Amino acid sequence: MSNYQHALKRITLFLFCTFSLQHNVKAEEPISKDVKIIKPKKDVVTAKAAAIDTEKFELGLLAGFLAVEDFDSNLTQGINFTYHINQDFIVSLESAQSKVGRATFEDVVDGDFLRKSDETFKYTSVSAGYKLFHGRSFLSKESKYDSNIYFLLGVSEVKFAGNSETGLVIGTSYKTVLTDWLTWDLSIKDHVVNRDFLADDKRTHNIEMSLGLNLLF
Amino acid sequence: MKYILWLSLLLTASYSCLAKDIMIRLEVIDPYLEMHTGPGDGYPIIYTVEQGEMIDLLTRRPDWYEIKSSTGRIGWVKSSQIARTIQPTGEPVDLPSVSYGDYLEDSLSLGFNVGQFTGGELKGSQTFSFTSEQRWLSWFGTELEVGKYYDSEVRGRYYGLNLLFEPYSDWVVSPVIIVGTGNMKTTVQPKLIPLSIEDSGYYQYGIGGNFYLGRNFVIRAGYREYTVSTEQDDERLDRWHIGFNAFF
Amino acid sequence: MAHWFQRVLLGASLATFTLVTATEAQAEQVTTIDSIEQLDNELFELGVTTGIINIQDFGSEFVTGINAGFIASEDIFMQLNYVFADAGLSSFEKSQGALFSGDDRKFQHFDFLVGYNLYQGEQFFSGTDAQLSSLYLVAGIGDTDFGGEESFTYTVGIGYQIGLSRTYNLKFDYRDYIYDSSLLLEDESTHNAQFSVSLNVLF
Repeated sequence: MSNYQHALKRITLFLFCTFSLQHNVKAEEPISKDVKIIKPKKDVVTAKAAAIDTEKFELGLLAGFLAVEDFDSNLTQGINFTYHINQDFIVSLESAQSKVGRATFEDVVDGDFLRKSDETFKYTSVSAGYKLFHGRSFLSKESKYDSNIYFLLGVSEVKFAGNSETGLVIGTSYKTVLTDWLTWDLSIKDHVVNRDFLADDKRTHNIEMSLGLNLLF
Repeated sequence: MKYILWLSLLLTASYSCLAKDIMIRLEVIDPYLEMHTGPGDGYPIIYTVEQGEMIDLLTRRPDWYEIKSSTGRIGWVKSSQIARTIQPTGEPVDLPSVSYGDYLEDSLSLGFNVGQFTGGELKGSQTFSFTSEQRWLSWFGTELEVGKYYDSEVRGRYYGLNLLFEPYSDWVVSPVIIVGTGNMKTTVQPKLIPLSIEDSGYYQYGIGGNFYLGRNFVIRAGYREYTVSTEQDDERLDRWHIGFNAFF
Repeated sequence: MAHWFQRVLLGASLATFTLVTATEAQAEQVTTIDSIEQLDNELFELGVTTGIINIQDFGSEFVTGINAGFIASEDIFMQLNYVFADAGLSSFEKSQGALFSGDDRKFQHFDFLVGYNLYQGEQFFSGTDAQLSSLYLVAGIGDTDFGGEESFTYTVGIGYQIGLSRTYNLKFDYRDYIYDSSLLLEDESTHNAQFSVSLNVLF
């Protein structure tokens, strides 16, 4: 039944609108003379969310945790430089290090397998990022931020335990634009690299979770 | 004649299609209803439904309803906003709103807690429990509890059935009394002196409190005393715990 | 003849029409809390998880598992997880001999987590069809069975999820399983990082 009512309502509304419109048009005609148009003194500023639009570069610091295969998890810190090629692609240059320290098995056998200088896990990576999703994030009713999710893939030069090898870095990054000059991101990455250690040459996975704060320019 | 025939057939068909889905149609009595793009306060408002319009409820998510306006717009409306609108029959909708324990009657909950034994043979052991509670009345429920305890050289598990009494379940923070019985088994014994608790029955009583974070989400903390029957003597234990429960 | 046939048909269809409208009207009248409970809801989810885990002092392993979730409110959810991995020999074990073998080399973990949506949002693949998303923190407790040890485990993590459709969610997670292990040293606190991807169905 409501369909009928609805249709009826619509028709009435339509008729009403057309009539009132015609009426208005007729009514407006005589007052076309001596009309003074008052223009607003100030232009209304249209609200616009901060986004990576005219900006092309990001420079920032990152801090997080790095779990090294056969060793343990430690704090990691580094720097990141990102270039936005276009709307969909980014290139990221990143350098970070994590002090792994003495391994548990070194304590077990009470011997040093690593020199002090080899105890730090250092990497420099160049990765390409593809924007999987673009969107907005909301912290509360009032705050709305542009946020993008990237898929990262690149090469990583890793120095650790007397090895200096080039491997693969793969991961995802969730980047939020806080203001027109500041972004933050959460990145989860896996550094896949060969390591020749204790007469064992194998491929290792090293998982890194980091938070970054970047200047946008 | 033919026209009416087809029209009636069409109507029959469309109505029988409609009748299949459960649809709830409401009339908006508030000045307006805000439709968001998603089920959260942060999602932008895309449309407002005005007073007197009819809306259909499509889906339910916690605290939110997906609705369709009479103009065909689809969006999410906060459940507290809908609770004020009326049904076509004129009755208020009276959706479940914040009334804490009163609402929990006949609902099931899942939860977990973490704790520690602070006295007796297992002193210092860490514990965790998974719980599932059926609330029969607003103030009474039964709870199944399965858990484990860990110390450096001890591992064990327990399971039991508890009765819960929560007389003031309409309070935001409300006291809970627990009595229960179960079984405790030490699966890894210390190397030197084994514990007297091997595979033993126990009964327990305890007090605690519920803190309702939301309509159906509770933080529960408490303190319990155990009497474990062992071969030699009854062993006394006590344990504190804190955890979360969600009702659905 | 045809006229007679049309009449019968009209009568029949009108009868069904009134009948159906009558039941429809009745159905509309019983809009109580009960029928609201019957309304299609999306409160639970089930999913499969796969990823990489770094077992401290041991290797990194391919991990698989399942998860089940309950959405308690707009911001809070609860989640049960079970993951397992087969641990190969660490470099140290390869040079010194395996510390344990057989079933003990299976890494098994389950936990119960509570999650909090820090950010909620909407994401687009392309075009204007928005999918719900959120960035969340999780914390909870559970058990890890590895190397013949059962350990009380704290789990903390951060992750984000995106709806692929109304019923499918894709999740990226970083988890840290923290427990005390005596496999190498007495009561050593270990951190085991996991990077995983889950595909969940909401129902």
